[in-house]
Amino acid sequence: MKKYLVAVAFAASVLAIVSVHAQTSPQGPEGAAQGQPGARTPGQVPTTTPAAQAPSPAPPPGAFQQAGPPGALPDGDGKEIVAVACTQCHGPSVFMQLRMGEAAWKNQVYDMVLRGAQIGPDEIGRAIKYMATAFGPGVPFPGPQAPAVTLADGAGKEIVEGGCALCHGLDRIAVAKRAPDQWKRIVDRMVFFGSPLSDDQQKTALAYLSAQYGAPQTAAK
Amino acid sequence: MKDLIKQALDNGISRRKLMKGLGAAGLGATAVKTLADTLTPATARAADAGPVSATRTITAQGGTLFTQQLKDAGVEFMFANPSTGDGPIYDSLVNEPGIQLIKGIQEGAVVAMADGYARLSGKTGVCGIANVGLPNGMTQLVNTYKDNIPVLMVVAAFGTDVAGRDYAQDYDHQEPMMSPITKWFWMAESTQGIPDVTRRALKFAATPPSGPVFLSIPDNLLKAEATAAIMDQKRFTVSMKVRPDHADVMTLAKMLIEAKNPIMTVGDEVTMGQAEKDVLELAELLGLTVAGQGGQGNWSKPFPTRHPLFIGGFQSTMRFPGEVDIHLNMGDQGAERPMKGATLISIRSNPTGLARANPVDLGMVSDIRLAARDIIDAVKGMATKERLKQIADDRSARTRDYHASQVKMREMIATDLNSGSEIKMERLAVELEAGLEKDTIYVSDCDSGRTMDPLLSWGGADKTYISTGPNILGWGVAAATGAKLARPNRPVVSCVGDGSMLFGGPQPLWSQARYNAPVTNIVVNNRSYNNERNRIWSFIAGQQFKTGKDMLCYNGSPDVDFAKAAQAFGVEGEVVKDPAQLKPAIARAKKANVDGRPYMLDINVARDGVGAASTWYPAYSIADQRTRKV
Ligand SMILES: Cc1ncc(C[n+]2csc(CCOP(=O)(O)OP(=O)(O)O)c2C)c(N)n1
Ligand SMILES: [Mg+2]
Repeated sequence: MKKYLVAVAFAASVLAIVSVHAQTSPQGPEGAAQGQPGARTPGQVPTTTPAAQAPSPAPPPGAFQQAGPPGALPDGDGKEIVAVACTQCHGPSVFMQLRMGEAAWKNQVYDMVLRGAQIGPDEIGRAIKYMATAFGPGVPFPGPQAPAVTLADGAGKEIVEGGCALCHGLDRIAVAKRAPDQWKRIVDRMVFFGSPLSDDQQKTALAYLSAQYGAPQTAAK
Repeated sequence: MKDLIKQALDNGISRRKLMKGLGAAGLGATAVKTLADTLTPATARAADAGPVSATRTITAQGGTLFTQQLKDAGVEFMFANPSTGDGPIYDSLVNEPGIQLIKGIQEGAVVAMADGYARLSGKTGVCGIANVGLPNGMTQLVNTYKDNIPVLMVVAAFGTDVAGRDYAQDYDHQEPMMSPITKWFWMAESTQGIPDVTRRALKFAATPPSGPVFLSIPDNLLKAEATAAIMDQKRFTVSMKVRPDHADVMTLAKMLIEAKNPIMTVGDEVTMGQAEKDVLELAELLGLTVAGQGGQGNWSKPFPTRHPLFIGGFQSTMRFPGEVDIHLNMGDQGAERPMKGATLISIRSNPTGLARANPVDLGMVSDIRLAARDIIDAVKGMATKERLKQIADDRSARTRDYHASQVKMREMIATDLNSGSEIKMERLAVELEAGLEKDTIYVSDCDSGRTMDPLLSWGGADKTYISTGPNILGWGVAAATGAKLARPNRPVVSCVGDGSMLFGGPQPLWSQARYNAPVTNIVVNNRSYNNERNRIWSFIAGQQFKTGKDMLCYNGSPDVDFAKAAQAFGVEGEVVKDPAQLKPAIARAKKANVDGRPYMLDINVARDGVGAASTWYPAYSIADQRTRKV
């Protein structure tokens, strides 16, 4: 039985996107409960400020928000950085369902820093290591099961099962026929994301995917 | 006489012409005057009486009355694309060297050129387009509206003599469809009234908070002749340089002096109010940590991003500077958000924006520059120079350290991501920072390409950044053309995504070529709606994500060669695929600009994020459906 680990591919930029959205999304609606402060004499500022009591503004209808409760981050070195720096623009559930290796997490965290995540040079290494440990390939994901899919028989089937199901359901493989150059790009990227396939295994996996789930090669793009 | 009266009612012929006609028809002087009073619109009567604001009175076609009013209002350029009905407008410019026409070959480009010109010149961008092309221009006008940019858009409407009969191209009442995206819209009611309605349109566009206005002039009114007064626009220009309430300023000054951990956020209203230097002075005087101006609806970066007090974008909760007690917002709509435990004082030049989305503790409507000056003066009056220096030094030490660590962090990222055979956006950013002149005007119309922004320096003595708040794409190349027109002596670069470039199309390049606009156009070409795919796959996380099938965001197959497209439109350029070629390619673009020519750099960059490796799309062949090979 395979646990349905949320796709590695998901990981690659979900944080980037959340952050972009956070930057471009409209502000929340008016804090209706507080109402308007009463008439104010110039020079006086209300002492009990609505701002101090106001909850964070709720997102407007239709705004993207990571659903569900935040959930607790697993313990580990670097947790305190991630717990604060990565939740200023989005909830932790956005990244808690991702699985990636260290190289990919590094890119991801860098991207976040360029989008405003407040992480310093002296702590970024620990933040990346924490993510790769707490949310690395093979770390179980307590979500819904992937639909059971049996891959076609052929040389390399086990390699593909082992290398891909570590992070996502095999249904994602069987769903579309792709030209060999597309499979190559995908395998390369998955290896970057943390799929532990050796060079030879990658070649075998590629041959298997192109044979069993291949589409005619179109002109090179 | 019946004909004359009908003409007066339908077309609003000039009072003088009417009176002459009535006299010729045999009416006595008193009868002529009474009848003329009844038949002439009130505005025209007022104008006829010679308004005190008139600089001169001319007898001319409606088109001429329109452009002469523009000219007297100081309008030097008109961005345009013609229709038959607006012919008299352009006829009037045949012998009028005072207004230079800049032609765009799609209405979106026309509007975005006017918008870019207005952003950089501070003057109203005037554009004329065909009424049937109005919806083409509307998309770009949304950027103009949301960002409060002064633009006058004019169309020749269906003539009052035939409108409403459902003739070809006649659709009823086009003006109200401009309602949600203009400050004001109007249809001219008489030929004689054209200068008056034009000066009103110009006034509404330019009066802060400025914005786009729409004027439709029925084509028969443009063609008809009338005697009308051209008005002195200056006398209708009202200053909106409102000073903040003195008592509020004193309270705020005290709060800022006593604050333990204050933050100041800055946004577009600083740019609009030309308050950059004053806001910087205020920050330095009090050692205020400065954030904001990126994303969240801002289109400019008025505070120097390399200044040690600047820490980047604003969030309601920030790891640095931590728990804030006083949050002073200077003209940033997006940063007007409550921070837990902080008192929010928001100073806004746009009264409708103030406290619109969130409650504020102290809201002040004021010109941003005047507010900064008054606060500076009040602060200086409350504390000695030595004490203020002490406060600033104490406060800014932490911020300076934090800023320095960010600089180090960015260098680390830039170095780390500088490798590989593909061009990454970070690498491109590093090359641009090294290659572009310090006074470059950088016009950004990118989506995922915005991660490049923090790797470049903006504001102060560095490059000027302009973009759009709402990110309605297809704006960049045209806006850069308008920007170059406004600032011919500064280098101008447009940086757009491939998706954005295709929304705007190559048409703005045609205007660059025709008018020798030395602009460098960069297409950050990842053959994808890269960030859109990322958002769809992760926020929606639906079937496209689950199946790995990218239904709409892959832009390859066919792969567009933007250098070739540019060439077809008269702009030379090149495709850059190799990271090592970036530097020489940027140098070639600069050289072309120096020689007075525009240039296109189609830079093939790596896609990134979720589904980046996939080139799958739902293929379909229409040719294969045929049973007859025709
Ligand atoms: C006129 C317009 N149409 C559609 C959109 C929705 N949209 C937002 S981003 C995007 C894709 C942008 O692609 P590109 O310019 O190539 O940017 P990338 O993310 O690839 O860098 C689209 C279609 C928009 N913002 N504006
Ligand atoms: Mg793109």
